[in-house]
Amino acid sequence: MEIEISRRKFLQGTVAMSVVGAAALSTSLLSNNSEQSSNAGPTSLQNSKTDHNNSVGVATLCEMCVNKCALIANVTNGIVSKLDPNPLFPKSQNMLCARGNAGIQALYDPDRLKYPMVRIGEKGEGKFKRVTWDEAYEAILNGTDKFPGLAKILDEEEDNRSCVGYCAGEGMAEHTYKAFMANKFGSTNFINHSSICLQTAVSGYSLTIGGYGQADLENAKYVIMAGANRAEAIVTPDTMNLFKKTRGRGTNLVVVDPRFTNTAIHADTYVAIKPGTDLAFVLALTYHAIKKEIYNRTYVSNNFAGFEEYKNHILSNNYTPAWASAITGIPALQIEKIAEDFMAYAPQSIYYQGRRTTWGKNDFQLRRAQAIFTALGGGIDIKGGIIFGEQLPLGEHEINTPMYANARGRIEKDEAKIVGASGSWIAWRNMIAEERTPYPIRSFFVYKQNPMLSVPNIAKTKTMLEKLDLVVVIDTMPSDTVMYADVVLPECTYLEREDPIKSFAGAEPAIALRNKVINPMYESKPVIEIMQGLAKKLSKPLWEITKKHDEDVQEELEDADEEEYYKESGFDLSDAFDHSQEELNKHMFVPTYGEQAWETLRKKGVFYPEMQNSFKKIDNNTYQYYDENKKYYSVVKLQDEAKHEEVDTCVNPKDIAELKRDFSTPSKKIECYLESMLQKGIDPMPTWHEEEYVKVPEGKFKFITGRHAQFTQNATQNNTMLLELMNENHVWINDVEAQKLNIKFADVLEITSSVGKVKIKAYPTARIVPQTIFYVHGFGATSSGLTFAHMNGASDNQIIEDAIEPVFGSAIMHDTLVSIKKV
Amino acid sequence: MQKTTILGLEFNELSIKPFLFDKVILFAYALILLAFYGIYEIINVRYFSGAVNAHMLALEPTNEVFKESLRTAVFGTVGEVHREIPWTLFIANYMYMIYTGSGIIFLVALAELFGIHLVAKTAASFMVAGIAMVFAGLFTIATDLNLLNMIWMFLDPNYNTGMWLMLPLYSIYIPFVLFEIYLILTNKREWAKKLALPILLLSIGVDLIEYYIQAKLFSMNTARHLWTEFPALMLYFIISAFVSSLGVMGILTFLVHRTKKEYEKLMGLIKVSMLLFISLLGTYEIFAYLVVDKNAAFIILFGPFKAAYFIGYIFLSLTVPFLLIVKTTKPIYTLFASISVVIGGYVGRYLFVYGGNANPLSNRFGIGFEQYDIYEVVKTYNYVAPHLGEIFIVVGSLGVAILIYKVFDILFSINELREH
Amino acid sequence: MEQVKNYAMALDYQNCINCKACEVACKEENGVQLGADKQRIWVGMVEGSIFGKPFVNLYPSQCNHCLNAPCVSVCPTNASHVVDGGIVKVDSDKCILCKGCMEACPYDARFIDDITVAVDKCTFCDHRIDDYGTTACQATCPTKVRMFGDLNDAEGDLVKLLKTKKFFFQKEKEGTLPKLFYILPDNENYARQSVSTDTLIHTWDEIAPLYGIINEKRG
Repeated sequence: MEIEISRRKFLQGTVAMSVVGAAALSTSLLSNNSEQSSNAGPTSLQNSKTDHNNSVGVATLCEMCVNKCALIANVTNGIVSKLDPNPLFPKSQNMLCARGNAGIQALYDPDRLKYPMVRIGEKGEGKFKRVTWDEAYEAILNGTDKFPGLAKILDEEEDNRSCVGYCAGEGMAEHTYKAFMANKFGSTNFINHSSICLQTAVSGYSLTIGGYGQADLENAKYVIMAGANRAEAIVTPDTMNLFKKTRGRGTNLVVVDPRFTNTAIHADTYVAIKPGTDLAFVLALTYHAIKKEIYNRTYVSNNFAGFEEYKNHILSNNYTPAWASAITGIPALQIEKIAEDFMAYAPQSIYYQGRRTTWGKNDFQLRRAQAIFTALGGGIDIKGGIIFGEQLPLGEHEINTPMYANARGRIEKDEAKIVGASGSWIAWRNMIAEERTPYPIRSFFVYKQNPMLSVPNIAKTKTMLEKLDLVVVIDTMPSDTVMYADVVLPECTYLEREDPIKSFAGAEPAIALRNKVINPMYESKPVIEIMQGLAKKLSKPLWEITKKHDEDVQEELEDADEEEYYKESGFDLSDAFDHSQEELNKHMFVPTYGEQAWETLRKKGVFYPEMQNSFKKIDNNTYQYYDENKKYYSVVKLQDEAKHEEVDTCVNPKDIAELKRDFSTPSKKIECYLESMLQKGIDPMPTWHEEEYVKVPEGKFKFITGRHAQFTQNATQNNTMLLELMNENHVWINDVEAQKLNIKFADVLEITSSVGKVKIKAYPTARIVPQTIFYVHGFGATSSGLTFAHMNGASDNQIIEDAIEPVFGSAIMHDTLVSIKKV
Repeated sequence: MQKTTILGLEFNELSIKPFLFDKVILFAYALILLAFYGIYEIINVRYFSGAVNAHMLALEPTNEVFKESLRTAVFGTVGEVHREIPWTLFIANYMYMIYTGSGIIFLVALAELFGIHLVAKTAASFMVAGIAMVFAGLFTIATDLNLLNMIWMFLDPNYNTGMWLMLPLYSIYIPFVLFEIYLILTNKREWAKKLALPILLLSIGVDLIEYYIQAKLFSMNTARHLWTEFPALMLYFIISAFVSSLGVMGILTFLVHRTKKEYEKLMGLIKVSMLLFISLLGTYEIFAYLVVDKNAAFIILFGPFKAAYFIGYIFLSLTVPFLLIVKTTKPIYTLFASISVVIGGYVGRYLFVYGGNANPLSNRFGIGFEQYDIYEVVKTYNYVAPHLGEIFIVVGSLGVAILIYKVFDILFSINELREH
Repeated sequence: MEQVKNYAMALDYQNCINCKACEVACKEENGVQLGADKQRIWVGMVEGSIFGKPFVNLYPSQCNHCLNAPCVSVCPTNASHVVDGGIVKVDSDKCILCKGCMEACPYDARFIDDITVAVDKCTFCDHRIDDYGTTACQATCPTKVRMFGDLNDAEGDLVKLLKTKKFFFQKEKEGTLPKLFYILPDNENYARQSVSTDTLIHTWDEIAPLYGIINEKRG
């Protein structure tokens, strides 16, 4: 950008400063303005366009959401001035969304955490003292007068490492953090976003067809998108592929949603459904397909396990379209037509999997039913169906993991039928908040997650955090969770660090690298360096505690040299962080692909072996990544390889039925009937349980939540560029009902559920079904450290009840009943 | 009274006292003071308010001023101009002051052409009132423009634009009118008499050119279709200006000439003229609304502006004065009619500017007005109320007109009748 | 001799999902003032229904860079001017804030930037055309709504696209010869819901002469 001084700069100061005066005190620690403030001299206040001639482009990966789009950061005089899409990456296909573009504002957010801090006020008060990194590590180890350290806690808990819980948000460095917390430190109590996100969908599809897969929306001809909202919850490459083909241009899109979303704008058929009744809809589709025998019978006989049971189950339960119509509010004829059209276009027909999914108690079964219905048309592992794709291999980085005899298993393992390694957020939290853990959880490490706003029932999260002795938060922003921290460690943003290299699976697989664009600002550090510093600090003192309490270790030490044993058995916690991220990445990549490819990856940000043969620019909008015949559409092993030569599914996709595949399920077939589930007391087949459906009584509303394309959960809530697009959330309410209640646009409503209440402005619209209200997730922060997000709009988790579905303990998001009142 | 003569102009005794303590002057100062507050506010908003762009924070992320500016940008409103309504009360006031003022000058010229002796005797007061209003209009517009860049009007002129033509127009018009006033006030009557006819014809020509350029300015755009197209617009400007000009003349006559014996006669003359031009204007309005853009007309006639249009404009500038003066000849009724048309005429200008912008341009594809944000109500018409500073400046411009008139009066006793 | 360029843009607005990536990219690329209304580019949304079936149309938009630009012809100081490539720009140092151009523009494409204290508008990112060949809004678009290019380049992406499609303009009757070419959906139902009955539909061969496109046959 141009560095010019305009007259405005000189005129500006005095007026605005007087406005600031009052606000400055309260948040002074979080926004010290004297320190580290300026790395460029005079400021340009001109209408300054990006200066491309004097800038350096650094290829890197976005982290404004989970998609990891490739981008090129323009750096001028050490300042990131513009982010442009990197056309080389097949997954993100030369695009950068609003949030991606606004990454600069995340980097230069005035409220960023700038240096380590230690709590000096009461929990939740947000009063901190700035400390050095070493003082922060010291506080974690030995505590302060306000809170105990790990040494004391572990000693009291007799080296039960699991007394320290930890959570992480999704991210490329999640593994680095886990390498320390799980492998080196040795706690089993890990929770991540899965159980408040896509656990049920991933599991439902994996257990049924052998993987969650990826919908090939580029080639699909018929797509049912129920609840998913790809126009507003952008997923690459799905979003880009789909909307270039909708509106009569090759893909028939059916959107099933209680809201007329931006995705519904593109639907050929929009089906307004009562929230929580999707399973009935899918079962009725299945009923109609089976009853009319319009499914692909050869495919089913070749590739299904337990189909007869399923067929009998569906038919005997009378899951007719008429039955579903009464439940869902969708006309029976429409259900029949959708089933018929779906099967007519099959196998290029997809019942889209969806991501943030757990809506009701039956969600796992719903995803199973969707997967089976898609499979009935044969649309699995075929171009235009759900595909599994290929992943390019990367080397591994080994960690010398110590064994702690006293570390116990996860606390919430019996709260649901199958609690996996990523836990059940709500169950885990509730056990601590309600003081019913099998052993005390004393401390909690949080990395890149904001459980205060992201887990249903905020009041309980607050209670949990208050009960913990030591809370350590690693983040870039002073989130609501940071307010409850004892020690705050500032991570740098994604533009200031190199992250672990990642291989992206798909029909067009590639490896991509997050290069560091500029050096970390203030005193922030990448998580690998934070872990390294922490490991060095903790290693020896904690070893003493292990020696004191761990009988296995004591026994083995009887005939071993202590220092040698300490090192060889992995008790030296810092040995996992001896290498820099750059070295680790090179080590993972070069042995397989060579030095020259490494150069390419480093410089271009993206590499895949086919790149030099296939990549070409078609026009300013379109690039080819792989030749059509090089794409990985069908990857599942065939029982008879030779047959593949005879059957060309490109000519007639329905011939997919001729091929028997070995799916990655126990029976190597599409699993209609899960015996293993039956043993756990879970329905082996998707079944509608009327009693599980939450009916909406007169005068009440069902609350649903979701996304707008301008925000990523609550991570972007303080981003001014995005707030400018939409500066607060509004509650959607059906316009006819609103009129009856005399609610007009922007009236403030008080919304009350059994767990909390919020105030939010109204948006009466025909775009939502009656008896249902919606507002977008990612607003309503209470952290005083967030200048722009503070008390802006309402948080959904303030009112969502903390119920979990019974299989995985995932958070049920759409079963909360609320009442509304105009204030 | 002591007199000093310079270039044939007789100055009254030059003392500082009347400029400071005269009641009318003090009133004018008070109004101008309000204007200064308004100007302060405008300058503050325009040059001193914290405006930010995407790049500023990158240069200085912890700058508290930027942070506050960002907060305003995101949650508040920024800027002095609303893009849907670029022209506001400033323009309405400018139009009113300039057109009414030059209307008076034009009417005086016409009266002289028709040999109406009575007007010639009061010409000094009317002409000065006219030019004072022109200055008030220019004062308003000067605060609206960015004067810092005005140099480009000379350095890179775009001759063919109505906006640019304002510059030579007023550079000639104002000195010309001042010269006319000079001729009226001067003692060199013989000399003036020789020049009378050419000056008169020139004066009428200049007046016509003025309205021609104004009409060109306001019909320049293809967007705001309420404004009937040029050259019909020129006619509208002249007729509507004459109505409010006569109103101002009526009030002025009452204020400064009512003790004189010509008072009733003068008022009678104003009454007759007013009746004539009200009738013309009424006719024009009926036909104009048949031809202007129907969307804009609809908003005015049946939409949110209908009260202002029917009560503020039609009723006050046409109906009321017509009923007041059509049958009686009493000067007091002419005065009331004058007050009525002065207010009604102002509402007319207001409607012309705001009504011209009222129809949103966002029906760009012919299937309905667009909204730009999911959480907003679709606008079916545009209206942004003028802010306080703007209103103060407009009030202050009245002070400017009064001040100029009064200064002339103190110096030259223009309120006295003169023969020439 | 290098041919004179005549930049324009085609919008396959059917692709738009209202994600507003283009708006942010524009502000980041050009340092546009934050908080101003709509700014340089925007996405308009029109809701309606045909026979009870609701629809929403999304119209990404910006300055049309008209061949016959009313904003340029009314500017008293030539602050509004046309630069090489047929791009309409504003020289902020010359703008006297008369706002005549804002009144004159039938598309409401202009606003006041309070930082430069001047009228501001889309520049077709003319500072980056040489490096990138396209605008920030086109480059960043997830669903690739826009296609920027030179109308005089018969071999260019833009002309190639326009030759295969029908298209229409905003407020064509204003006679401004706008250069945002909105691509008419091939599908009749979608065409009907997003175009008014009196909108004129054009093809390349018929419109090219009007836009001063040099006849290819004569070279």
